[in-house]
Amino acid sequence: MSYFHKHTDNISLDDSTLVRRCQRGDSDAMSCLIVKYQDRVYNIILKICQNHDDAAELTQDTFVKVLENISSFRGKSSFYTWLFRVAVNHTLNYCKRRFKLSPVSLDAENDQFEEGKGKLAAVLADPNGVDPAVVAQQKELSLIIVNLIGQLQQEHRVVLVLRDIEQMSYAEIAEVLRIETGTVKSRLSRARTKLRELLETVLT
Amino acid sequence: MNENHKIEIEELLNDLADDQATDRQETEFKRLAKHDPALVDQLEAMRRQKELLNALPIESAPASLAEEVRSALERKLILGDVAESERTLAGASHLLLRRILTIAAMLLLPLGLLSFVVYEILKPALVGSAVYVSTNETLAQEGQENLAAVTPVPDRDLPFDGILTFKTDRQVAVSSYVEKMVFDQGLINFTVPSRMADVMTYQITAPPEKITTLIVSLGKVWSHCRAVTLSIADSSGGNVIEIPYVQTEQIAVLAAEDNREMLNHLAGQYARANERKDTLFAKEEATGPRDIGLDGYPRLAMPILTGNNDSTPRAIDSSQPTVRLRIHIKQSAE
Repeated sequence: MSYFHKHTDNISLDDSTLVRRCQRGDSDAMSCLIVKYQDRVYNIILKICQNHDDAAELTQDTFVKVLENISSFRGKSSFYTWLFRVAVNHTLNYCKRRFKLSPVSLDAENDQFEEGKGKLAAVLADPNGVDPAVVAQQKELSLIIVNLIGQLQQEHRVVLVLRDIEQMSYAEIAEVLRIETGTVKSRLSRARTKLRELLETVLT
Repeated sequence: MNENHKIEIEELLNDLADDQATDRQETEFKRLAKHDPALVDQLEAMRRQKELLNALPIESAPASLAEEVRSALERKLILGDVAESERTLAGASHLLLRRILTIAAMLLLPLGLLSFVVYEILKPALVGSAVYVSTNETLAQEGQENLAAVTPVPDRDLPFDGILTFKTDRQVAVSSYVEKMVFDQGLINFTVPSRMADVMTYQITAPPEKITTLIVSLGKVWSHCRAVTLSIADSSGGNVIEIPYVQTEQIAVLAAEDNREMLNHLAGQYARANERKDTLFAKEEATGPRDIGLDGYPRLAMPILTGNNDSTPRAIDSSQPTVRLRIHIKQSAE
């Protein structure tokens, strides 16, 4: 059992309390913050950078940066948005420097992918059809969606991930990306439209 | 439908799908939907697309992530502390002070040890309040006080230190007489006799009254000497005051004098006066009493081997001031 796992009982504490404890050097509070947010941060980064190893490394770097500078956190924004701002900026910088996204070619997929395409088309076409949540849990379908997200422009992709996957409000997205709410709306609209186009292209 | 209108409709659908639409936007959508029923399907497809994304499975972060974060933090903390301590002035000063103290200790410790060894080698055997014990005292402690005269005490409180020289044709007889008188006066243990070439010497170290008594007892010797001279070193130590034809009374006075300058003054006066009385001295000598035996030698009393009434030499108090008198008996030239 990891040292951190025994501290998960304190995750119910609100962020501001945990942050104050961290600022006093409470390692237990640091552990709580990590355990509380590690999966969400990891998923956001993974959806943006499209690589598990890179996502793991970037997630680790994000928490190190945040906890290293926790004493300078003044609470002008919520810890949650600060954490995700660090994560997104770090990931975007990494993606710009290290590699260009190379989405998986759908042509290379196997028969399972062809079967998945059919189910996905049915979900999007029939409002009374299969529950999207059930479809999304199927591995082959989720791979298709994630790959299509990866084909979006970076600024669109980030907004789409923060809104439709992380369920952030427009205001939170604006705060994380330090852009206007209107800009968030327009980018989100374009991202969804483009994703739908990609889905239609794949499914036809 | 132009491009701008299409974008406006898409943004309206997004707001509706996200439940962020205002009443005015909802009214607008209903109005548009009446003219284009496909917009309703489009909104529903957008909602399902959103649900689809929202329902994507949550990938768990690597199990070791938390531990790795903690390790990375500790690593940075340690490296950061070291770097900071090396950079800060306080840290640098502290390190400099420690280095200086270390070097000083490395230098001072061997120097201290070396100094101690040198001191142990060179320090005087007796220092400070060491007590000097005179030979007399030492011998007295050993119960051999009578032997103390063999090694006379060199330091005398009185300044008199003279050489009384008898020039005589009868060196042996005079020497014997002197020895007898030394014995009779109880000075035998305070006298060191010696013979150098043609000079017989008796070095006597004793209190001045003892010297005076001895000199007085030697009065008869004067008449059998061609010359009797007393030599005294003056206060400077360089010159010698020679008193020709010195008389017993003069020797007694000089021996008892405790002031060196006065001693020198008196010695000088005696020397000058005796020079002038040369003739007188010779006359006195010629007319003076003579106690000459049949053999022509002075009648010298026989030595008293077992002592007379005062046969036991009185012990001389070591605390008394002493003077030194050397009696030289020389054979006069024919």
